[in-house]
Amino acid sequence: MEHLARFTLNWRNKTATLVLLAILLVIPLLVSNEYYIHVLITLGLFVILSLSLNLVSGYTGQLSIGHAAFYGIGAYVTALLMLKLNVSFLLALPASGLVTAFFGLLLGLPTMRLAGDYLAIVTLGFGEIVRLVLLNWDKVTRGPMGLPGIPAPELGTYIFMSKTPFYYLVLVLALLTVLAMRRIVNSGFGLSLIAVSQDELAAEAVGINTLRCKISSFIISAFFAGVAGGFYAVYISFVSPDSFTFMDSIMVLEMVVLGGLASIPGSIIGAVVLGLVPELLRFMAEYRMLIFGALMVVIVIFKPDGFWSARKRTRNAIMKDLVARNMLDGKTVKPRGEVSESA
Amino acid sequence: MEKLLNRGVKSVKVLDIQNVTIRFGGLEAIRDVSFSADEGQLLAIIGPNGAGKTTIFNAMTGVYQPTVGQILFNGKLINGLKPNQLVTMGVARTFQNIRLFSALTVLENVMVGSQCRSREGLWGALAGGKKVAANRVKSIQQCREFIEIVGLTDYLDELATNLPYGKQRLLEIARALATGCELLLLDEPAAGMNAVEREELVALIRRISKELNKTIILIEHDINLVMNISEHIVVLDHGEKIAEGTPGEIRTNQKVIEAYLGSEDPLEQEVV
Amino acid sequence: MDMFFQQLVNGLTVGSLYALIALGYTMVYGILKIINFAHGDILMIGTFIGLVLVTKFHLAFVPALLVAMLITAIMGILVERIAYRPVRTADKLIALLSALGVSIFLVNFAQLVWGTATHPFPANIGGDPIILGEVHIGILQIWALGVSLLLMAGLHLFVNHTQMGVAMRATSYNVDYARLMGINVDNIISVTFAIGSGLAAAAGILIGVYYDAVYPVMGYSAGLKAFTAAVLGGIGSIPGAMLGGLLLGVLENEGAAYLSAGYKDAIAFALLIIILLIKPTGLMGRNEQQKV
Repeated sequence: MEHLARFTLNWRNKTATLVLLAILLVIPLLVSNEYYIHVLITLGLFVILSLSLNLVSGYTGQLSIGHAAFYGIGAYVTALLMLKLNVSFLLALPASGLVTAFFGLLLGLPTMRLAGDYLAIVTLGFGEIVRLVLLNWDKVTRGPMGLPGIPAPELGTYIFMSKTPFYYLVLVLALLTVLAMRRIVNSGFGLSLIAVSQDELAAEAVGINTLRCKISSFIISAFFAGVAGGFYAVYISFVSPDSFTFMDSIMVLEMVVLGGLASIPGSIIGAVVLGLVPELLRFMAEYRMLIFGALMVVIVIFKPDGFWSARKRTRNAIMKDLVARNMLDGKTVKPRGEVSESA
Repeated sequence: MEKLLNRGVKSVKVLDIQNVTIRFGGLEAIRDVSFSADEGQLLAIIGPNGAGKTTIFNAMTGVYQPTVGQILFNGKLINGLKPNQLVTMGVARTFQNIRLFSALTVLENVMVGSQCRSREGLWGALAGGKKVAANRVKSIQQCREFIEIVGLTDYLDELATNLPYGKQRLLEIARALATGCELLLLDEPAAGMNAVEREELVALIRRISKELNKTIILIEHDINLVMNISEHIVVLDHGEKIAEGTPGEIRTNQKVIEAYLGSEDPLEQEVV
Repeated sequence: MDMFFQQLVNGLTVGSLYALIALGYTMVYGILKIINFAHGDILMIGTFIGLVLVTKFHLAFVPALLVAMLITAIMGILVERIAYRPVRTADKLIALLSALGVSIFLVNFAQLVWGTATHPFPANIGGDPIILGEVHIGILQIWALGVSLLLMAGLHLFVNHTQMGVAMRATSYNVDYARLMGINVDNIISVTFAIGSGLAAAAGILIGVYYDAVYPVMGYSAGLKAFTAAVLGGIGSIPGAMLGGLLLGVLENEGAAYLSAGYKDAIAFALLIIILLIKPTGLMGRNEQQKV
């Protein structure tokens, strides 16, 4: 019975995933309205951004309110590499991820001494400094005028002309991010991150190098945000400091928290919902953001755990995965529901 | 290699505390304390509240640093090392006020403990593959063994926070064992346990000492428990070592009796 | 050297305004341990109220200032009741998001009512500047400094020499103990928000008059700077907020004069990060040690 239950569950999950994937793949064939595709591309970017921030703020528990800085650094690196050095997009994109990862390392260092609100303030300061540098380093960034005319990506002889190829590209990037994040959080390293977020002293006392965990999660997080930024640069073909402000950092944090901290489905749902709501409210014209702000207050009051609470996370996911692959006996695993639920 | 050699030499203590003084600002929490633990020994530190027991514990695990003096683990100076480095070397601990990872399951808590020996790391996690999976299988099996030893197998899938108090203490011990420690430090392991649980705990500590061959140092308020299981006792009072010896010697030691407020049979009164 | 003193005067002027705003952040943090991210926007609304009172109701500057402070104080109480009280027991992040929701709401409300353009603030304050050697102290600077020092002195008296003030300090020291001592914590929180918001309105109006500009997103940079000042001084500490504000104002202006005007704000943030790394609890913050 138990095996059957697990099999059906797996099967249902897999089918659902495949159906969703198929839908995502055929959307551009069914939807001709460019605006809709544009919204979907934006959602894809939001998904990458919220997943990446979730690693730091959700799993590792380090509150960051400067995530847009990584996004911005990635965008500017791609823009500058392509505009000034004629580097191809295929190289520029990973390069911007790596450069941004280095900044992730820098921002991770203060976690040596700071936590909580104080760390949040440092990330805020970092975000502002990055924006101010982009704004004032005229020679390189052209300051507030930004960098226009970033060339469209080329893959061999194929040049991205319409929105459709961008859609598929962001889909691939977002899926890769989901996959990577899943592997990371469902690993011993991922458990260590959660341990750090729960009780740093206890984590340290069982041999976890907490500083290394925190810095690593900043690095990984920055990498993905940087890649998202690189994509943004070629997609919009223009970057300016206005697109990477404190408000943008806050929006991403909101996606993570409203979606549900330390939860991958949560981050995705959060990104999609918070990305869609302002679009859906467009009919309200100038009242749109007013309603949005009020809605945010209402949501946090009534759903403080987020849309997809971390409590829904699969317990012992690492072991269950091995059991499912028949590499480990699952005799000692009790099916869900037999033991009391968390309070 | 060095470790192996050291084991052969009888004179090297597993833990050697030499003239340690710990000051916080003007306050001297520990004054010139020395004692040592031999391999496989079960040593207890007792003393009235505020005697400095937890302070010396924190110094042994790298949470505090001795202001003066040396702490040697297997002959190596460990002053100034960070807690996680000490765990890698083989020193693990439990906490007086339980510190589990409440959102993780019983198994996951123990797996976190085993991380310091796992070589998987981030890249392994990202790459996946058969080898990583095989290592995980091995590691999970070991963790399950430790859980079996402390008797929590039925709770494998339960969140740590949902365990009853006494079982949480046991989980902390399993988590410490999973680090592959040589020296296990237990900070009031019986606190908050009922009589039955205490008996089980005594049996468990004996088993860890004898079968798993761990050196154990424990702080405990329950004098009966201490007299019952420990081979050697160190008594602290007001930050100083006032006595040391076998349970029999300690029971009749005048200084110890005075330290416990001069009552007729103070050691019995300590029992809650 | 004259430039130094001129920038010192300018810095102290701006700094005293930062301090006024920082007090709101620090008092709320002291008690609720949350960063009130809507504080800057409450300031902005307060400034607009002052502007409306002067231009539409033709009030003189001082009565307009006082009435605007009062209305904004009430608004502060309302914001706390609606957006913060329901999430007080939840994770602090939740309160942060709620605050951000309020912030977005207020900015967009202001844009709907007053438009996105920048309004001048006709305060009709005239007079000759005081000239000391080469250093000019403008009449607006005197007003800004004078009003903010007066308000800070008032706050100091309130906090240290009234029963309510003592209760407030007790609550900020430990909410649970304060409740056990019979202090009505809900009331204290309301009063805290009222005072913080009132001070913010005063600061906003002075900023509006000083720069002759009022606009819906003015709360953002003012708030961020003041927040920096609060952290610099040690968040939770009232004297710290005053010190942090003045210090930030001076350093920023001297930095802009001697180093680079464009990077003026970057200097402020870099300074903030450095100070946090050296002394995480700020210049005058309380140290809290974790017990093992």
